[in-house]
Amino acid sequence: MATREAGKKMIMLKSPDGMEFEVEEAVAMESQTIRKMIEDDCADTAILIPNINSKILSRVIEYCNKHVPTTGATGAAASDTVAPAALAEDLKIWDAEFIKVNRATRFDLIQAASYLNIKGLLDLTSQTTIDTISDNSLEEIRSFLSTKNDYLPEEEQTIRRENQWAFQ
Amino acid sequence: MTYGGDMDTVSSPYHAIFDILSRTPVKSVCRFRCVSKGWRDLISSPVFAAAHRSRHGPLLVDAGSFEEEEPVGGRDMRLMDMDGNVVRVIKGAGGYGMMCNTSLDDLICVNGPSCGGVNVVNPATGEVLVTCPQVDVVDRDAFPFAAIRYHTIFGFGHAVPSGEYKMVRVLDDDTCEILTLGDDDRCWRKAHALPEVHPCSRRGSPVTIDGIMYFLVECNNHSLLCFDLESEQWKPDVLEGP
Repeated sequence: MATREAGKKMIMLKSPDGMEFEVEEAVAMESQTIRKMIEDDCADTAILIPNINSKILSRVIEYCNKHVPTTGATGAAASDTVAPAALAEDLKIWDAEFIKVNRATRFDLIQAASYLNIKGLLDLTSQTTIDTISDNSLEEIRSFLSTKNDYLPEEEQTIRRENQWAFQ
Repeated sequence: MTYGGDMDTVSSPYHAIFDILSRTPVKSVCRFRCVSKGWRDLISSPVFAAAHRSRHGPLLVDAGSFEEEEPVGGRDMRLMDMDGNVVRVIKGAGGYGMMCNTSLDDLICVNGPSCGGVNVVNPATGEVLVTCPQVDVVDRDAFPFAAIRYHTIFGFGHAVPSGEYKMVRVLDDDTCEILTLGDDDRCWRKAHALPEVHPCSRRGSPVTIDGIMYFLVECNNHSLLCFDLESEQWKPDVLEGP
């Protein structure tokens, strides 16, 4: 697997739980954070990605593989044969499937996209979350994002009164 | 960053929450202030406000809303997003014919036509910081022909170097009055008399730059009268334009 295609530079990404993922440099560079490491020559043959476990990292790589320009997930030069509009439509359908995950995974993906600075993935994961929470009650939001209500009852009354208009 | 506290920081990291909230519509964001103290502090921070504005655009101010069924109480200010959705209604902060005069830092100043009132509003809290009655309030239903004074020009800016917010109005008898925001008595004080030339009343609001309020000169569209908000003095000479 090391030299999958001649001329394609491979990079090793390591998750903190010890898994190693070999990916094309172009795919890894979908992440602006990794791109910067490579461009600044801070990356040797392997890059340790802290805070992102192997399960999430493999999903992130899956996303980057699909979204890297000109080369689709199949490895074929898809843009040569498929019209750009059709390609965009295909990506949209693929994204919609990709984001069908439980909320814990989705939140881990937001965190990963934010750390690795992958704009497309961050847009996708964040927007999906907003669509879910915008109309939720405060209790639902707290449980959804594991946030604890640390207001004292009288403090909560005050802040609710100040922002009463937003509840109407 | 103070955010985090005793929450599960693995599943609720600051950056991810920041990113989500910066994409959330303004009304929901204001509601989310009540989720927790951490969220309130994040949402109230200037960095967040800037990030949110850069995604959602500025807000438009409509101060002239007037509901027929509520002719007195329905004088509200509405804040709208760029799509025209009303994101906030601030009760009693607008009025019939009121227009946004200036938005300065995070404050909005609206004033009515001629003898109408003036309000300075903090749109984030909905607080009306200053509300000035009309000039010499007269019940016009009872005294339809009463002679009332009215202001012809109204300006809002801040003085340099003190940074005080000041409002300036020129009345129809050519007197000039000043009100300083934060003064306990909230009174209009007489300022120095206008110089020989008069500012023009029909060409929009004066503009303040570096503590000097500039007024267009009457009958002359290329000269400016200058008023120093700190010393509250008119400059003796007009600025000649090209």
